[in-house]
Amino acid sequence: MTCGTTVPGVDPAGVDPPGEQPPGVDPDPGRIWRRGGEALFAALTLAIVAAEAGALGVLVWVLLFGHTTPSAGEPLLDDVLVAAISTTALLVAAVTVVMVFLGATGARRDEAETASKARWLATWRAVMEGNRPCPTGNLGRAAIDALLDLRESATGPEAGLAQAVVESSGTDRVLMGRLEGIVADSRRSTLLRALRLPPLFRPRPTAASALDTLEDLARARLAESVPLLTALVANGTGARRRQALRAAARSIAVIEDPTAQAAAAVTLLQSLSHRGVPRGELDEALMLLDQAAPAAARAVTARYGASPPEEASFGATLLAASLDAAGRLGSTAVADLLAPQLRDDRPLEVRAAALRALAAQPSLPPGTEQVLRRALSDPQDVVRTQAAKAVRLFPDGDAARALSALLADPSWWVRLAAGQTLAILGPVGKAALADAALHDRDRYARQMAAQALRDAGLGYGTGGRTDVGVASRQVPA
Amino acid sequence: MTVFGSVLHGLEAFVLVYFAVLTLYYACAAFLGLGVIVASSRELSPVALKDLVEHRYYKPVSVLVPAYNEEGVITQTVDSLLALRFPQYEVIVSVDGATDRTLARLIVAFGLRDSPEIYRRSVGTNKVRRVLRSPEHPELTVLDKENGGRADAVNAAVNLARYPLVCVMDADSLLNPEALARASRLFIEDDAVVAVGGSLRPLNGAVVEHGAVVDAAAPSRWVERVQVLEYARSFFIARAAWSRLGSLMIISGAFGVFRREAVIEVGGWTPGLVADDMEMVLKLHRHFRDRALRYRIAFTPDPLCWTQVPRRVRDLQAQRSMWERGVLEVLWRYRRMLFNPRYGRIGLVGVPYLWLFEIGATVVETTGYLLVVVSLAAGLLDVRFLLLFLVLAVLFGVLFSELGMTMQTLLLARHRRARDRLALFLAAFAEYLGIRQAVVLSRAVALFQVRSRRARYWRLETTTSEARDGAR
Repeated sequence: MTCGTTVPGVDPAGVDPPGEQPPGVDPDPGRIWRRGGEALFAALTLAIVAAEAGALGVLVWVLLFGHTTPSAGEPLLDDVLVAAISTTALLVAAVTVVMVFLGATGARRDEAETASKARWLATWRAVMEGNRPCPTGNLGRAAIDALLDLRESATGPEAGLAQAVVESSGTDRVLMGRLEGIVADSRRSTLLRALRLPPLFRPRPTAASALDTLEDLARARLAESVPLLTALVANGTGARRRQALRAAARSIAVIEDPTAQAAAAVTLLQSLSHRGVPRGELDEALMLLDQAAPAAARAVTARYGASPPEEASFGATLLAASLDAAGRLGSTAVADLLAPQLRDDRPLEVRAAALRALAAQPSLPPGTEQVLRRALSDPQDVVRTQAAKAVRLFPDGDAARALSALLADPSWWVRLAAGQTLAILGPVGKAALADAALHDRDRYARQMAAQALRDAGLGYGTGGRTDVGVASRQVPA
Repeated sequence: MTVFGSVLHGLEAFVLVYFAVLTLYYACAAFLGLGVIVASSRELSPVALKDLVEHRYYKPVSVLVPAYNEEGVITQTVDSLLALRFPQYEVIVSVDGATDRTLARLIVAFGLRDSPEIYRRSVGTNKVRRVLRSPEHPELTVLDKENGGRADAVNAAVNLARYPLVCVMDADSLLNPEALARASRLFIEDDAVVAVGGSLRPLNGAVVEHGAVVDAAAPSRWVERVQVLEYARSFFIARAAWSRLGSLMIISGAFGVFRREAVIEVGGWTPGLVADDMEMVLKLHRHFRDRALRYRIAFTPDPLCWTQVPRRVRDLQAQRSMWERGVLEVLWRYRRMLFNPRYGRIGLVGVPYLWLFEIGATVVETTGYLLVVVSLAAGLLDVRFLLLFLVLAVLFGVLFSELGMTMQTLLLARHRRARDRLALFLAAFAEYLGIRQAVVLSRAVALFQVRSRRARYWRLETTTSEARDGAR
């Protein structure tokens, strides 16, 4: 591969290189809306608003204050109506022209884009295989899209090769330049933004182009983009912030140095601390951090886990999200962090998350057994539910006894969790379920055990009762 | 000038001013709607959806399908639902005391068996006779229940739903294969989201293969084409704009995704209402604003659902008559929200808009037609003025239909053939050659029938498999 040169035959303005479209390539899978045409449409709608506001404003003015009536045959009113009709007819014609233009050229343009992207895919593959030099210069939308698609789908050593092409083709510099523009725009004063005045010497990114760039950065996963993206997360709002957060998390996930990776992850998460960031966004960012998530969880626990954060505070939410993410990723790296977070004095969401992370561990970490036993009789049903799932880490007989007792819990969710956990315990659990289904003194325990057996494919009975309305019993105070 | 003449002129001036305000609203809505499309198309990118699934931070969804007499389409609908691209979901068909072979067809097609089920009855419903499951499709559950109406059927399915999100749809609609991923992603972006609506497109004329739309061709009848334009205006312009303003008031019953706990908190859908879908949205607004809780009702302009629309003018009249009654019934029920600052922009903007421009439009337009007749009879109307005004009115209507159509050209799944686009262009004019007047008349009559007609399932005569696959 010889990168850093302009390839003869490739137009720097982004004209396609020669090549055949590889079969089976879908250049834009899952896309619903086309790119392009939006600016034209936006200009059109603004023109309509302005023109109609003018025409209708005059009409209303004449009617209300022009001492005329609709039925008087007034020349003034007629003139105004004719003007309004002419304006509207012109706008209809303009919209029709745009519609016909977009309709007529759209299909051809879509096909051309598809073909161009497919050819670029072939080109980039050839570059990666060392069969042709790396194109550089102004690569154009299709070329960058194809390269980033390739980067996105590549795994293992291929991912490294694709990343190298992203860098050597200059795509990284293009994207970083655009990102700098977005960050500069986000730092401008509210007044300047409201006035839509561009900063000197730098074109202002449109909403669409900014979001496109952030999406491109999410696919490119450039480690050098992380500080700027983090700044954008801290200063941005709405879709820009969410896109920047995704791009930053994905980029951090590919940082090779674990220390730098953890530091970047924690900086990113802390940049959210002064905003009312939804829990879902935190979950998304943490899951996209991938292997960096456990390290981030450790850092977050160190920051917020020692002193008890208040219920529903950012610290509690972030801590809970971090533990949840580590649990979902099946990480054992946070096992030693769990016991302190299971204590009664921790916020409810943190305890529940710690129990979920505990349930994902292969065995009970030291110091958690007693806390888990206490959690089984916690007054909060959400804690008992999660504890019922984690009890599978007890020895089978022990677990079966604890779960059989929970089958008669006042909360339906706890009974459900107990039945489901028993069903996965193996023969001991199934025997306990069968016994409970037949002999438990509690009717709800018998029904839940029977259902758990049926759900486990053991076909236990068909004569149970439906529509039982079991929500009537409450957790005792 | 006589008193009669003065009143008449006053009314005429009011109609014109009303018309001017409505037109400007549509123009502004088109601009706002475009902004929503730009943001949504980037946020719900293929990579974002891939991450959602691969990194497992999606929220599982229960798809709830109320079905009354749907023997013609129900197995195809379930087949298409079982093929959705989403990693964790279930389909619950609630057969609401059907008198045809809806249940029998489901039993045969999917090998359903009785499966006594213990579930939490969070919302009261009519008796569920039995629960059936399919050994081949463990994600499919069918309820056989006593008839109680659409809302009751949905509520029964809510009780059985296992997942935190519930997607409610009509039995004769088709979902985009990625509908669940796209809608559920909005719940990830914001914890405060309690409901998400999506755009609908008419299924008529579209080519369906294996339960998915493969070609969005224009339908053959003018009345269907007019509805294609109407849906484009309504979803890509109006609802998108309202969602931008944070005041979405309607999520179509044909496709909506709700947070299950929120639905249960408000007591589920209210049986016996014609517009139970709209009522649910207003109920959610009222519930959360009464308690000063943070919440959001979101909308994605992505067309996630294809639905059948009436093929004949009289069916369209019947449908719109029912909708009008439904809207008025719900607005009356929630009249305390009108201009009530306690409900923020919903009380001060959203609900007044519905009164003024949904119900009001019917009244004003009908009044306009009557005024023309009365003024002409009284010799008080200048025919030249009337003609000029009619031309202006038609041009406005055409302009916004065209805007809706232009929005559709931004879709990848758009009307590709020139003859389809021409047909729809002409339909924008054809709408004013009788169809619109017939519909307005039905809606006006419906305003006087709110109390005399009860809610019922809306069914089209075309809801057969032949119609779905053959209406091209």
